[in-house]
Amino acid sequence: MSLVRIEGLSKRYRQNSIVVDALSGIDLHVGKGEFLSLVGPSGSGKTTLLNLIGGLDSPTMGHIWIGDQEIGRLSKSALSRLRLQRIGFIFQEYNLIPVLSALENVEYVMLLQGVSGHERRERALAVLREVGLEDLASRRPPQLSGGQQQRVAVARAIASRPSIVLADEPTANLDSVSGAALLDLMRGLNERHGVTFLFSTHDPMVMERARRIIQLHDGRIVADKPGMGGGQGYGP
Amino acid sequence: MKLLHLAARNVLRNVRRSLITLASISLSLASLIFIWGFIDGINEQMIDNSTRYISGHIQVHQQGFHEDKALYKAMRDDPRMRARLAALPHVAAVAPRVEGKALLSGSDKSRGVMVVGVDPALEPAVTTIDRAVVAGRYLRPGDGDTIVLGDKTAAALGLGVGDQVVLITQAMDGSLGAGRYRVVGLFDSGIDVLDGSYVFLPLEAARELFVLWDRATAWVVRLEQRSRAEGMVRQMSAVLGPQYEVLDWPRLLPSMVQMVRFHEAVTYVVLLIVLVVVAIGVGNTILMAVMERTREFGVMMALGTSQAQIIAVVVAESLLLGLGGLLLGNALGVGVTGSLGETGLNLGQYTAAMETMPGLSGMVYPLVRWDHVALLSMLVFLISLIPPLYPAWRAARLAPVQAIRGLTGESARAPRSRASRSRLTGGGIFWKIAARGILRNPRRAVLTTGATAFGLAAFLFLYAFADGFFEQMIGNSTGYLTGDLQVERQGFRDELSPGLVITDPDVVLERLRSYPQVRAAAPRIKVQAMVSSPTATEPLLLHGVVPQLEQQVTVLQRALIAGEYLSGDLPRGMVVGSKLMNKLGLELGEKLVVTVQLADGSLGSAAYRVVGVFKTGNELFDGSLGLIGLAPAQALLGYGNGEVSTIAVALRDRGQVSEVVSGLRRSLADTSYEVQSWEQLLPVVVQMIDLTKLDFYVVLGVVFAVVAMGVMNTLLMSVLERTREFGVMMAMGTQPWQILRIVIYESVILGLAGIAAGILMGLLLVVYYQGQGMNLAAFADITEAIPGMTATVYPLLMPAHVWLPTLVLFLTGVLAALYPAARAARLEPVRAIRHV
Repeated sequence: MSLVRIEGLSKRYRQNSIVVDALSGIDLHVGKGEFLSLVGPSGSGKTTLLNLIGGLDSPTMGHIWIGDQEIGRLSKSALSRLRLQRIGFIFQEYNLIPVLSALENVEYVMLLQGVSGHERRERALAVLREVGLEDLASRRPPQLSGGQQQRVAVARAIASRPSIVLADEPTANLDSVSGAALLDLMRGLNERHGVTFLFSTHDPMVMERARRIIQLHDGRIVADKPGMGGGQGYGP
Repeated sequence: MKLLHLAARNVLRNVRRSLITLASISLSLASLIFIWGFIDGINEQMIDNSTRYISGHIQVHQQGFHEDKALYKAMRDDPRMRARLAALPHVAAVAPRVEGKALLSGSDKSRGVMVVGVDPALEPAVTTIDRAVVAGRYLRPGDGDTIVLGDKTAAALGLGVGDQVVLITQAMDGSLGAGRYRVVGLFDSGIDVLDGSYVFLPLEAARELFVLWDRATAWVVRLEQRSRAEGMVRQMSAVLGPQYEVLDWPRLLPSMVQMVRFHEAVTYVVLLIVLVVVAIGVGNTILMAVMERTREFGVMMALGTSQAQIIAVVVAESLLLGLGGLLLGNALGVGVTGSLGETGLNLGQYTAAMETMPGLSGMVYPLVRWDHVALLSMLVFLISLIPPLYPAWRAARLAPVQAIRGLTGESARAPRSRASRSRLTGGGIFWKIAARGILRNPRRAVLTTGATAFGLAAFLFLYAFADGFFEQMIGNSTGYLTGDLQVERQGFRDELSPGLVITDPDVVLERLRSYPQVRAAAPRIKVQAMVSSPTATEPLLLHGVVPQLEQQVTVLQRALIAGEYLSGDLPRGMVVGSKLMNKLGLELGEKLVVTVQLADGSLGSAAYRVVGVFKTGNELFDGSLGLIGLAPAQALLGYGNGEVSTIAVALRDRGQVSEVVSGLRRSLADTSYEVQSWEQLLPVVVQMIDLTKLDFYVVLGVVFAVVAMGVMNTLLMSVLERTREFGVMMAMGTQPWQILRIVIYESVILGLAGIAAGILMGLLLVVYYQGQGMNLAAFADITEAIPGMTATVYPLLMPAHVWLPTLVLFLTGVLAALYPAARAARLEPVRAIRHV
């Protein structure tokens, strides 16, 4: 069974009198353990698709299932719970909570989930160790470099053990060395723990590491092909 | 691009921010205009009613009459001279009067009154007491022995229209003048002093009573405009020559002028405090609106805008907002004040207190004075111009790239990592986010906390000042005169009738002494009388006392400035207030004659020698109080041995008065005696306290509004600034109500910090002045007109009076957070994340 199932998905924005079809007629299945990249030029609909899957925005037409839950039928607060329990987010601008330390940022989602204090701390430290930031756990975001902040964001996204991590242009703000390191980290997590990653990019380096590439153009899927990083993963 | 054009676009670009700023400026200005208008209205009414009902705008006397109102200084009522005055420009009317003091007696009660003899044909053109008649009619030309009384005088003596009264006085030639008059009308001016102690006779009847044929004590002048009085005094003096004195209303009503000046001084202090609170509130709002835009200024500088140009744009924007605020504030302030000036503001529940002030009644008509409106507008305008300069100047000095990063010092300063090691706990995370969120912009937090703190500190200090003021007033009044409570026959307090006596004082004293809270009790005789010297007659509140017992209850002996207190060795001795001595023109050791109406309606009189003179610094006591021994008083009134009219009681602690009073009432329920606490004995003091509280609620209202606006602005700005952050938190599964909690927690933290700082500041001020005392020497004359008041005030902080406003202030801040909190909770995650 697919982890994410999308059928006939369309999203139309209306700004004043101008109508923009951000997405139209999208059908897509994402399996458990995939490492999938959405590629396409600016305005092709990548971010819109991620937002719709994450329940941050609602479709104009069509359906999205996460597991057996159709997210179009969920109330605001049920959507909020769905995001809390099943989805992890990584943003282009890191978007850590600036007043909380790295450790606290990682703990935050688990805290909302109701994970007990002791377990929360253990897991957060373990994840920070995994992303190589154990020593910087007590620092706040302004004291970390961009690459370090994005690694905290990855740690935060996976610490709550979501079914899928959605990452919108995760390397766009990073230099090539930090970007490569971050991708290796995500790929390693995918391989070792089977975390499903769905990320958007127009960075060729990212495409190199993806095992499946969906190409979007003007809101439609124009190609669905194996990536160059395929082979030993969990992909279909 | 024109600077102003750019500024206007900026103002319109963020409508909400501009509206908040505008609202803050205009509401502050409007409330200042209203407060000042309210006070101006009260002052204007005091002056207008006092001149309209009784004094007129100008009075002409024989030279020297004003200083010494002896009847022999009355002038010849020369109709030609009067006509010359009336013919002067700006003079509306002139009327002659004969005024003097007398004892007014009904069937069995009497009291001292001011007799005003008026010409019924001419007087209504000068004063308007005729329009205040509520029963019967005013005097008419051709009336014989008729009289018009105030409703309070009539009630005190149990009189009505048609009743007969007797006036007794010392006439101009020294003989005893007396006359019988029929009451034809009662007036109610709403002013205690008129309604309770002025009576009006036809001019000829008054001349007969005082033996003042062809004479007048005064010509009363009404002008077309009161403001011309000063100039007309010079003109009239020139016409009349040196044998006359010409006085305008400020000299005729000095105690009222002092009261107005005192009121104005208090107003300036209150306005200053409100202005500072408003300055902080408005400044805070504007400051934050500009600080928020640091990044924008960075972009402008990156595009080549010079520092001076950035500052110029900010100034131009402030100018636009300031002008807008002025327009709105003036429209609102002048509109509300002006329309209330038309309809009047009904302070029904404070009527009694208002009526004790000269010229005031329960309706207040606020007054828009354009000079005051202009001054306030200018001040508020300046306040709105200056604060934005600082952040603009700071932003202009930054390197563009720093400014674009948004600076505010956050990225520059490393938070201490110690804090971060603390554990996160369930609900604690939201407190932690709130607290750290506030610290992220320390300057903003300090400004908001500062506005709250200053407002609260100012309020606490004002309240402490008032409590100290009243505590002294009560202490002096009870200490010199009333004691903490009194026992009397039922009805005695209202009528002071010599017929209402306590026949068995020993029984009552015994019951009183069974209360451990009672420190001392003294039997007294109290009666309204007239006291005469060879040159003058004045009303007198006569007390007959047992010196040894009285000195345990009251401390008048401490205020002696000449001679000695009463003692058994001086059976015909009397102790008199210093002001009364001046009015009577007496010296220590000289004789005076006291006349009273006895229980059977006949008159009794006796002579005493002044053995002591006291000066408490209080007009009421020093000007109308006299003490003789209990036995001479009993002899004067024809009381049996042991009969008294009052027992005055001092408690160990005044705070226990209500407890003792209710106990005593139960224990005296089987008798015809009643118990009065000091609150009932000194209603004027209690009413003044109530009135002052009203002033305080107005100030508190403004402080609340400013603090609420400050907290709301801070949180609103801080929410807007963190839109993206909240969006991310919601994307990660944070529920809207949890976001709401964070913002409310921030307001709780800001509020608690502000209140703590405010209480500390307020306490320090109070403690400092408690040691020092606040010297009101500049107003010393005025404070003497207030019962029990002296020149130095020691502030007194009573927690019971301030905890509730403090709590309400705190809740106001938290409530003000609801709007920004709701805004934050309603954010759409996807839009919030995109927010820049």
